[in-house]
Amino acid sequence: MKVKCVADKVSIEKNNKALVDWANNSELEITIGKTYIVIAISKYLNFIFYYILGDESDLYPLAFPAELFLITESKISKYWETDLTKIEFIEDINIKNGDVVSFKEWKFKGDIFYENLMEEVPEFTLIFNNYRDKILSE
Amino acid sequence: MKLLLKILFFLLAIFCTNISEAKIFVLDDRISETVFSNAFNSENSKVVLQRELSGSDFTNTCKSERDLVDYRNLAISSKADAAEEGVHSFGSLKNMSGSLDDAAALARNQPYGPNTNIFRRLPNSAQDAQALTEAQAGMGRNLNIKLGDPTYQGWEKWHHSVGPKGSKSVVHYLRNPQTGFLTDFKFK
Repeated sequence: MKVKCVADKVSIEKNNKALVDWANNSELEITIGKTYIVIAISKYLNFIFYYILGDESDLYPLAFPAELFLITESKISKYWETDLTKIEFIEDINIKNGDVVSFKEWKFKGDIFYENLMEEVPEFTLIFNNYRDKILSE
Repeated sequence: MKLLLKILFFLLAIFCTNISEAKIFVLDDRISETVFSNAFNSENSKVVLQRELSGSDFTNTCKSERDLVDYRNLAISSKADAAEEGVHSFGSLKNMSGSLDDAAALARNQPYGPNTNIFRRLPNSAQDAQALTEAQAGMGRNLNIKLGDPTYQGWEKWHHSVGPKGSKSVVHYLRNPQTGFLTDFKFK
């Protein structure tokens, strides 16, 4: 699944205060016009977020609000643990807050997986790097 | 008369067992941590802990006075905890022991706690320093994960970056949403 960045700031007019406060307290590491491969999808504050490799690091993905992107390739990774095969619109994604759609280790371990990845625990880094390389080369 | 003596003895016993004081002094070039127990209790009558990090220690540990901010943050919070709950309250920080040795380990980029990875915690450039300072002021965004470590349950992990695209300085840190206390700043 690929998405193209169409904005690098959350619109104050269109969104609720929680999301605006979340996003606009720090510059988002994405570039308008650039296409990113989605590593995972999640939901926070009732908004869908895409986990992509931002402009600063390939070592870990960061979550960005889906509204900042347009879906340019709807076919999702074969390495994801999901019944979906493609996602045309954000509305196709029916998950609860905190759920993760991605490869099985991340999907089932959830925050624990991401926390350990951020803490650079070797076991988790190895798993992520393996899937990342496969997903990027699909 | 016996009753009066008993009451006096009871009050004296309470006085002897419960009084303790913890002080942490934070100055520009040193932090000293001192814990006193009351003078009536023979086992605790001595100073339990009195340590100072000298200016030379900080010269070795910190590249600039800015790095002392993390120490101050830790020490000030420890002081508040100590004043509120007594000596045992030192355990409520990311630097769980509250000891200055652990604080120094954090500042020296040494492994800390169960995670043996070594993270850079000192700024290497003005941009790094800016990122760290802004993170210490609470800038950035919540990574929206529930930390799995039981010690930090309820804490938030935050991310902040500063600089031009592609070469930003990125800082991660932990935030206690109950108290607003920030700690464990590290460069990514």
